Amino acid sequence: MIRYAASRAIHAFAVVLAVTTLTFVLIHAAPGDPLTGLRESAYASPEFITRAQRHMGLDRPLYVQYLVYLGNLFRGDLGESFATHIPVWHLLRPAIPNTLLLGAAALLVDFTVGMAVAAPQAIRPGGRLDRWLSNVTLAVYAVPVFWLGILLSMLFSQALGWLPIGDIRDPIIAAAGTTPQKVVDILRHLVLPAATLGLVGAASTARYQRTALFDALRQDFIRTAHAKGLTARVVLLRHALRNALLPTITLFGLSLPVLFSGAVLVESVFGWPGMGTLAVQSVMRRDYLVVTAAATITATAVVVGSALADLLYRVADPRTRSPA
Amino acid sequence: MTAVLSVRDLGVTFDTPRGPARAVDGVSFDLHAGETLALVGESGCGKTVTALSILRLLPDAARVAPGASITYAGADILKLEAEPLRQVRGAGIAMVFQEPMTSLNPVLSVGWQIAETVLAHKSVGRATADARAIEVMKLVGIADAEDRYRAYPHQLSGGLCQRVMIAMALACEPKVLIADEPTTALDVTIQAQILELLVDLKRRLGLSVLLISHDLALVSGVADRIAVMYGGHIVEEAATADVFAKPVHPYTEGLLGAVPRIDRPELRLAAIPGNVPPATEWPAGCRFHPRCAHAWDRCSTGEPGLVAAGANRTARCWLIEEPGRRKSS
Repeated sequence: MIRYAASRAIHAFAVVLAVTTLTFVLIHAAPGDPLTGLRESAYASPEFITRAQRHMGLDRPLYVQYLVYLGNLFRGDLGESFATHIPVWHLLRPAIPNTLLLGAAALLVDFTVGMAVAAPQAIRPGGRLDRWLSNVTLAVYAVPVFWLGILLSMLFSQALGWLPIGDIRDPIIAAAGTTPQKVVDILRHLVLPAATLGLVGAASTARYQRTALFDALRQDFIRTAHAKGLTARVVLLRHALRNALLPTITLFGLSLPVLFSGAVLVESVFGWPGMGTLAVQSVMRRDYLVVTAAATITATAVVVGSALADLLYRVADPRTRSPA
Repeated sequence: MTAVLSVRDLGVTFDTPRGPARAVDGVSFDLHAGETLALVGESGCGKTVTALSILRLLPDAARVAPGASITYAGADILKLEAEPLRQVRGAGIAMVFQEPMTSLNPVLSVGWQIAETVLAHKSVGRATADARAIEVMKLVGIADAEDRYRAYPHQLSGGLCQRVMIAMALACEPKVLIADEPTTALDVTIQAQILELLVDLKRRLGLSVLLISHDLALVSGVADRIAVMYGGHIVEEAATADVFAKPVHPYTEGLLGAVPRIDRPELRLAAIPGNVPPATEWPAGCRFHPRCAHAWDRCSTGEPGLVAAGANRTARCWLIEEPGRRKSS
């Protein structure tokens, strides 16, 4: 167990380091740099630009910049934003909980909707409801996430006016509301982005879960469960679903990276002040250090999440815990 | 003797791409109180489908013939609503399956799988159900029952898993136990143990047992009566001693010829030529006639009925009407 944990930790560290390195190199390789705007300005002299370059350390060879960055990173220093001169950590800190909130809500939508759609399909495979839901999930799965976001915001925000979009809270309620009002306000802002991000995931979860549940329901032990006089509900929930959950836990680990990349699009569509929005802004400004830090933190979250999924799998399946 | 379970005119058809498969056809038998009846036949003869239809555990693709009835405790199981059916399952009639390893849920502890059966039928608390689970685990000879309660199926041997299955079946004191090839998946030494256990439990608990097996030698020491199945039919039914002393149906004869005899080592094992045809293509006339050494033209045209063939025995063969046609071997 300790050997396993140690090898997992080394593996995780390597992944995060690789992501950091790749992001650092790619963003530097992209055309332009943080001073592009300044160069086009009529007011900045070439001497000023050279001085600014030296000040930011951009005149040094790339590998030196990289080693300096890594050294600072290991001391917990993420550097300072070129664009705003705010420490990178101060930019990221408010964005992280917003993205985590959106991600958690989207996962909730993903798995509850996915299961709820899959269960009736697996119970009557080939039936009218099964075929109809299969078509719906396939259609939703094929929809680009940003397009779904635009569609939902046009319908529920602009046309029906039921839900707000843009930012995470209403400025007036945030300034003068009571705590319950503030919570409700954040939740109302959360519904559309979480639904957008969650529904696309739910479509693939439903398709996986339908197959898993379909297989589980055809196992010998389901016949045993019926033979001993359990109710249909207990057979489904206790015996079939518990076994069908195993592939879904793996799917959960795999869906984390998709969740973060989806968050970039969804946050941009809904103006959600999370890591995705911050990353997009920073890429536009070639704000190297913010982009690299956002990628590093995202990679860490994905690695931790998939370790969590493995742990969850061990809890759910006794066969992985002890040898026969 | 009173019948605890009566099966009448049971027919089961499966829709297959090659047409309807009549897996079971016109099967009738009584299981009397305290007796062991063995359903014996080759793979594909319909014995497992018969067993599964008693508790209505057949897959969705199966259709039961409209005239069939399965009477238990005064009610026709085939016509029961969901809730009364659930109460019969496990509490009135319990079942043990062929593959103990796959018949247990891999992610639940074996003790809990027994206890949940108790909880499904008795209004008792979790503690009482757990105590009952440990009690029946001891009853079926599982050592360290308290520790084994928490074990998962993959941690136990096939023989232990089958003991757990039997314990689970007995947890709610059923009147009838259906054992579908309970020893086939086990090692030979374990087979004998499990069979002895079943015999012992049957005697101590006064169970009626329907034993499904392909192995005539195995059931000979256990069963009071034997019903031989071929091609979805019961072709012969008689007391075990009568079946062995003087088989009436040529198929039964063939099955007996395929049993090695330690007292007559000079006898060669006689295999029955050919195979059981698929259930979509039963031959016209007697379903056994293409493989029968005695067959004549009547056998390929007319289907014989199940008729009396002596005291307390029945068989489905034209030889009963025309014994002169029997060829001496």
